[in-house]
Amino acid sequence: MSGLSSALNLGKSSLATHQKLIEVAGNNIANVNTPGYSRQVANLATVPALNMRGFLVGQGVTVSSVQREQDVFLTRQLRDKNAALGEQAAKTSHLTELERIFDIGDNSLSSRINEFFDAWQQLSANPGGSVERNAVLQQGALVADGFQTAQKDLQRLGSQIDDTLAAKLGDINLKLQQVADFNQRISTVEATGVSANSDRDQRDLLLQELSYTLGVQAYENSNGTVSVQLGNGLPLVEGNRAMSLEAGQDGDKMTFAVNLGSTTRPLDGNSLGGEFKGLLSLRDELIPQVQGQLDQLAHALVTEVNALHAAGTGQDGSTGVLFFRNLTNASGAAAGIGVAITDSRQLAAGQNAGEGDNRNALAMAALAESKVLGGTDTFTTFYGNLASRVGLAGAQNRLSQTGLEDTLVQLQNLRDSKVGVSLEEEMINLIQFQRGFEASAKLLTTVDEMMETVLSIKR
Amino acid sequence: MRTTLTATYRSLQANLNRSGVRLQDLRLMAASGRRINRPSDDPAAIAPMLQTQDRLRAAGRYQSTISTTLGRMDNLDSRMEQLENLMVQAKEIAIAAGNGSASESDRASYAQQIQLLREEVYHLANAQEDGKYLFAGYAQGSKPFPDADDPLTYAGDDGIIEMEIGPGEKVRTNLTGAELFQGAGGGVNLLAVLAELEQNITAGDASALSNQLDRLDQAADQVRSQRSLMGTLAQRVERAGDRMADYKDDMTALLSNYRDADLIETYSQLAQQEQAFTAALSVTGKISQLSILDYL
Repeated sequence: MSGLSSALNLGKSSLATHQKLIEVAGNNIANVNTPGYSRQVANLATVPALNMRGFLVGQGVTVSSVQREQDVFLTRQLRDKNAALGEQAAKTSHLTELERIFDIGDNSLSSRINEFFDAWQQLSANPGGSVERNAVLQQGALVADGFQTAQKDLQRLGSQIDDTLAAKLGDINLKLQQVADFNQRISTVEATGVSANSDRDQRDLLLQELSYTLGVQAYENSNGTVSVQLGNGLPLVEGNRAMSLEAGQDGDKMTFAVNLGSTTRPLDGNSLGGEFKGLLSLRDELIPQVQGQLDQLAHALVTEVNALHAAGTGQDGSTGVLFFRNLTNASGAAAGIGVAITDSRQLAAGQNAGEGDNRNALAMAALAESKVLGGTDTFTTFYGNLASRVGLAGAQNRLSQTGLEDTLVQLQNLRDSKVGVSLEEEMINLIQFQRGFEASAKLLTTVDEMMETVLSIKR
Repeated sequence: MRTTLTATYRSLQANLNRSGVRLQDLRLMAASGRRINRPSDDPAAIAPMLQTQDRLRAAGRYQSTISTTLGRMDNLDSRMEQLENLMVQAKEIAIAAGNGSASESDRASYAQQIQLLREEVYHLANAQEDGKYLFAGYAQGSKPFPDADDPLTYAGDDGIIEMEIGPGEKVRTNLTGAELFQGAGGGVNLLAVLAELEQNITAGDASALSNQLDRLDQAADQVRSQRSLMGTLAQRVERAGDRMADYKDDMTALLSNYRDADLIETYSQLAQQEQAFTAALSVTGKISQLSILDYL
């Protein structure tokens, strides 16, 4: 009897084990579309054999552990590439806006400057005409307006970037806290020898997302927790403790710092990666550069036009009149530019007060084609270079983003092929496990029949 | 290597996206006819493109300056033609008056004719166009010869009005009253000659009259030579106009070269891309029909 009942036990363990296998397969199938899910595998082991009258007889099967497939290399690659993609992707919409500001169409700043000089050329054909005089004033106002609009748009773009970054802080701090919570749970669960599979999956996913926004680096410790750091080694998560990011204000710029509990440490573009790095590099590098060039253009225009204009004579005999408001230095020129003349009679078309004198108007019109910026650029080519610099940044961004997206798709496909759920595989496993389950059931019926036979020996 | 459904769908989606973006770009290109719609489309071409755009606009301006200039010069020419005729008439009258058979009353009539002629010349010298005095130099706002009886006063200045008819190319478009009528710089003062002629005829001074004939010839020559000078300049302006039309065509072609899309190429690429997109869509549709579940 003892043999038969142990065979019953054996059948029971086999039934339970196959049931477990089907559960694991079912869980895999259920999570086929869960982002970050890694396929789980049940490891089977035989129950230790018993010595029966000198023979070692197996006692059935058991699920020793349920493990998740993982590939550390791919996980790290995915994090790195996500950080790189975040850096590029965050810039796209702002670069598009920048391209809109430095437009090359018929209403661009360059066109307006050119139309301004064109108005002078027109004035030279009829220097006494009040229509032509007013046209020059109006075109001058349009140029000033163009500069100011571009300047305001640039500034708005800077503050939009600040807003975008500030809006991300809450989400980042929440995710850092979640990573710390997962650290706590994983270390507690795994101390008992069980693998905390789904928690690890979710933590990996969180780290990937943090990498995308912040470019973090993560290292796993022996107790199963991960340490999350910034590029320059500032800790963000240590064990079950999460630091938080804070925003501050420095003048009209937003600054960021890590609150380490006792102290705060400031963050700059270099310590960051991902979206933060991309946006900060736009805000702190490209936009100020472009802004500087815009100021330079405005300053050169004001200086050159004023010098010529002051040397000429207006219709009313006035001399030394400035066309644009005087600007002392280049910084802030684009914001400060404005037409100073209000009376069109003061417009200096000539070099004496004669109605027919067009010498100054001709000289002014010739400014459009003279290389007044650094001796190498006309107003138009300078603007052209500025627009092409912005365009280059946009084109580069588009190119690297497409490249990185492709790389990420490849990496994710590679990860899927290693640790993802394949429905075909799970289906076949299901068939296999079902057959195993059926066979175990058959074993039980057989043993049951045998027991009945044994019991029927004594009537 | 295993393939999973997620990976397959992900790849398909990425390809569809890329194909879609390319299709959109091509459609924009075909619809706008332009290869460059924003600076990033071809950063290197931006500066030359803007410059060409400017030059094209400038060419249009030069063309309108040229037509204004030509109009003005035509106008000037017709005034000078009148002046030339008046000088010829003056000479005819002088010859007739110098004829010994002319009676006192004839001379009075000749003198009156000369006086009328002289008034006409003054009127020409103070000729206006659009309210501006033509022969006043820069001082177009005031009468250059305010006193009809004072041939030596000139109220205008020596301003030479130039027009720009091409990049850096300027031509003179006026003559000052001092040059044309007063013979500034070694010429004959037409107004003074006519005044003296009138006096001589009234006085019946035959020898002075024959002297005046020479000066009248010189005066007519002076007008003719100035007229031919302006005529040459007008021809130059006309030629500049033709050149500017050519230049404008060249700039238009150049701008198109930088900015415009090759339509044939764009359309064929568009067709190609549409086909690729359709193929990608149909593959995506087929994938979902193929499942292990149908065979279990």
